[in-house]
Amino acid sequence: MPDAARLRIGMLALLITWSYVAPAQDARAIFETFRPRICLVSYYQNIASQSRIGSFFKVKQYRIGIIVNERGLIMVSSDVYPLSLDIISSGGASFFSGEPTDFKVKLHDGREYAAEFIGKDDLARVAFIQIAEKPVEPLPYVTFESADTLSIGDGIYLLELLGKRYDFQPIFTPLTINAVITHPKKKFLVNNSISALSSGGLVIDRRGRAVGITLKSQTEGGFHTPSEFEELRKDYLEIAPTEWFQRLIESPPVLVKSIHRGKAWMGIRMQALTPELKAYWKVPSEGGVVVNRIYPDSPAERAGLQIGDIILEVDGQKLPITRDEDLDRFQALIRQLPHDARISLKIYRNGKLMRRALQLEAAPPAIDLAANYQIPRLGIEVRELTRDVLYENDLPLDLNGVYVYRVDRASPAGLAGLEIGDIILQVNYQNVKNLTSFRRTIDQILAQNPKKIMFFVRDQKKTRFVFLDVH
Amino acid sequence: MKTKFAWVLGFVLLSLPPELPAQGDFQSRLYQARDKVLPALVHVEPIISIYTSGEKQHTVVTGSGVIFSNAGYVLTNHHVVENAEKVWCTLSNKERITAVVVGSDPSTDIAVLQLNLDELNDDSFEIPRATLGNSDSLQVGQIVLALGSPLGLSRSVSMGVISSIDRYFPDQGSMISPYNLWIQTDAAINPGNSGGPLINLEGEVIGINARGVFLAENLGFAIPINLAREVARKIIEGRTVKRAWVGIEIQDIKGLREYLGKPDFKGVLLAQVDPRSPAERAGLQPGDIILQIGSQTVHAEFEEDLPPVRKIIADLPIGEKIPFRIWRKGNIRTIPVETREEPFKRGSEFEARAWGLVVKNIDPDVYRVQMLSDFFGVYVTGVKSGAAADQAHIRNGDVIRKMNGQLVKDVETFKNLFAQWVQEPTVFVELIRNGYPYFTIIKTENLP
Repeated sequence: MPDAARLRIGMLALLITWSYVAPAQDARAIFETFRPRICLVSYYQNIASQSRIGSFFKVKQYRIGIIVNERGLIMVSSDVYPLSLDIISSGGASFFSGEPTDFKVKLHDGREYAAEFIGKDDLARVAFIQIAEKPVEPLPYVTFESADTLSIGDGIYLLELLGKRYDFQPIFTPLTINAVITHPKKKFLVNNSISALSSGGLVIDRRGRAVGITLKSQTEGGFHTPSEFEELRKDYLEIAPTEWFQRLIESPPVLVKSIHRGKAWMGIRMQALTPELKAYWKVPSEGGVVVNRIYPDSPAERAGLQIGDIILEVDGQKLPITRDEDLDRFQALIRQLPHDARISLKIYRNGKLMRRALQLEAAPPAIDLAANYQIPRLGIEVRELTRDVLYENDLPLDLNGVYVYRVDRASPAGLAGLEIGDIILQVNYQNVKNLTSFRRTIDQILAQNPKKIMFFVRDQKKTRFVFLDVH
Repeated sequence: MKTKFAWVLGFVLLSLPPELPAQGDFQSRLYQARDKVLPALVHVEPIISIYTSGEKQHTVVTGSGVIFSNAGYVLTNHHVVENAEKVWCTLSNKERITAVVVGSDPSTDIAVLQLNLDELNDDSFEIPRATLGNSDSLQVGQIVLALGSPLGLSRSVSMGVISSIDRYFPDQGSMISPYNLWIQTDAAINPGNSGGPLINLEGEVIGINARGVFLAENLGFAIPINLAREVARKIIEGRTVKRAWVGIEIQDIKGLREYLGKPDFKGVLLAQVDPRSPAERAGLQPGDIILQIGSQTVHAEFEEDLPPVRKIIADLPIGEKIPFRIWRKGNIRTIPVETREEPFKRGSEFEARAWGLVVKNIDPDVYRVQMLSDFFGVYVTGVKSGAAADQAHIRNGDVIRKMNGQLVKDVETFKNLFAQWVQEPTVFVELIRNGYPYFTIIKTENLP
């Protein structure tokens, strides 16, 4: 592109930006400004069939998308891609969630484009898709601005799309910030009762500045204490301010499975330093994180951390954590760091204060993304063993085998009693090293049309033999 | 297919089949059988302590039992008298006296009571005694009577046939006996029948009724009397049942036979060798086929054949090297395995009242779920809301491993340490939760 053209586009973008940050706009003008900058995103969610390995049900899904650059980069809720990217971020996937496909973007004027999934960030709860063909003219887009000044009682507008039944018409709602949540990350709560495509909806302040997006509120899994019966659910929305995702718009996360990097990870489990524990251990300061588990081959292990260590400071920053409920502050603090950051920990161990440098690493990938092999003839899908499976089941990291990810109940594997979560260690007395070796072995065996195949498997604690009748 | 079968069976029972003896003859045989056992039937009402939400409560349950010796020994189920503080027994002369629990075995669900005969007012009452029969000669279709107190309705008799003599339940949960097959009967068995006798037309006890199936009809299960008799004898002799343990899980070899193409192959497939167990130390491996244990050859073609093999192992002498003859990849070798006593101590719950905490000994399920590396610790079965343990965030299912740095081996050690420190304002506790440590402080000062 010649420099002059680039300059013109730049000027144009500046003009667009300029036109809507000007104060004193009425609600209707704000709506008219932003309406062309949101779009309808549709895609297919692929749900694995329970009865036939390798077969999927396609369920059409709709989300609101926000156009964030003129080339057609669209920001949507991260729930379009429910698979977990690493062992510490949960994407909310089940064993039946497949990858989303057939993304389409429909603009306000009816133009429709095919789009591709780019990547997502589970912390910021946003994902990005890109319109595949280059738009003829630059698209109008949203520039987000800081939500720093937004506070309780301030007025805002929500721009969302209604559901299918109302043909995805826009819905524009003036609301008031009802609550400001500060921990572990700042967000806002607002009353909201008309149902719409809300995950990833656009939030605009009364001056007409885009300041955040709406989040799907994560439902609580039951009551933990009797007092929580009091917290009757009302209809509300959570709002993530611009600060959650601003830098992602500038450089969107790109998911290339083979080289995907997880969030920064230490490799520990922990509990809070309660006042009682502080008094018992005579810890010289208030609040901290007690290490009660160290994953093998993790940054924490390499840094020489021990079970029972109390982390008091990270990079000079105190950790005011005295209840287990506040541990997510510490997790958020670590996860938002660059995955290769080097941090300095102040630790209290056996009555002594000490400093330890710790080199963070990217969290290992989760089983959701692991390479898989489907064998419809036997009725199983197996996957490469990943760290999350080994850590959760307390298995040695050098364990060789493959993970049973799906079993068709009425298949040879299902009838033989193979279960999801089993780890196949041997096939016909041959050791399984990894997915490649399993694949080679099982393909050779199946080519000979055997009547019976013998698997040696283990679950959480026990081993057993499973005999598959192959028809 | 199943429903059709059930319907046909129902029809057959409703219209008396012609093969049965003549009406009068059959009826008199029923009366004779009844009269031999009914006087020895005991209505058992234990007062048991249960721990709901971390606090001890008392309740009365109803079960059945049968007197089988002149000394006043009564056979019943372990689950009837578990956690009993006092056991009331009503005899056939309607006198109500107490009994002591001589011993109880959770693995087979058998318990033995002894009646306090000196409490009897009627001196002329001769202690009735039922004859224990032989459960090895039972037949499917044989007519049986179930005696007991279904739903507390004492001295009830129901009739049916033996539906199966080799019902196998895979070892799931603590209530299922790994050492025996079950007698299945369609004689009505309801809660309250538990511990009561199942008898044949000769008036001999052939099983101890143990369980029905919720929401099912005509499905009752009894423990074969030969096993019950053996456990009862051990209980009376030694008051506890000791079993040998080597740390293995076994499988039948039906699948392996087909895989190897050796239809005549005999033995038992070794599926799992527990870490740090005698079997592991001796060098047994999964995949080995066990041919002989000590002097006994073993074989399990189907899963129903597994309980007797488990029993052979459990009955081995404790602390001795027993030769296991095995087949491994075509070679036969003999490996000596030193037996030890089963590491899981049973026993009842203990309430640490000052802390609002109820604990129990580790069982195999807890051992597995909490990924324990040894058999020490006690596990938490109840936490009272608002009490010291609750304030310390202790939860059901946690394993208490150490208190003030001292290893809690079992409920006995816990009791001693609790007694020692109950007056202390704070006690430091190391738990195991989901397989990993969790530290906390039980604080008894300033409690609301």
